[in-house]
Amino acid sequence: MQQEWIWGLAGGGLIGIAGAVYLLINGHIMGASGIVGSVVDGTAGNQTWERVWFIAGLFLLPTILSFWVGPRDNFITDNLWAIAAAGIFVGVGTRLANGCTSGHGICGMSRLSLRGFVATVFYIGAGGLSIILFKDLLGVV
Amino acid sequence: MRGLFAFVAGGLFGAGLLVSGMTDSRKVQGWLDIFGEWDPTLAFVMGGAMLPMAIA
Repeated sequence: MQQEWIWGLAGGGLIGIAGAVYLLINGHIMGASGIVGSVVDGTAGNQTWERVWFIAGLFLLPTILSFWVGPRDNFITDNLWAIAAAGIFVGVGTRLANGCTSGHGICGMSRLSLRGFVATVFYIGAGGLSIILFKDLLGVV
Repeated sequence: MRGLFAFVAGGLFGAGLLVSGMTDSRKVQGWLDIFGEWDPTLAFVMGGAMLPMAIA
């Protein structure tokens, strides 16, 4: 437990450096949902390839690291319907909100963006409520 | 060149998620679970990430 927050801080630092590199070099906010979404629906335009490279790095480096540190269990349910439903909710929600945890939470709040703060407060609040609903009231997780 | 930096940024982002333990859904749920065994790791991840971002 004592080590976990240090790893959290270190990992967060890596994410922040990633966001800084992407903002300074590529000139865009590093939002994972927006990057993936714009490649899929074609709105990335002439930035499509560098975004594909971003996604490739996002998959490749952790995969390589996993061979080194050993596989980690992610403790996600193996109920495929639940995973599919969660994916749809995340997808629709991040498109409606124009961003996800990385874009609004990390990049948005670092830029003191009001929209980022509002989105972060609401998605953390909604997450907390769904834990209360599914864990404390329904007892399904 | 921009592609290379985007690749590096993506890799750093993914490595950060792995190192910080955010690939473990228990930790994310733990952060939201204020009445259970609350896990503040996610707050540290956010804080650690916002520092370099704010400078940039």
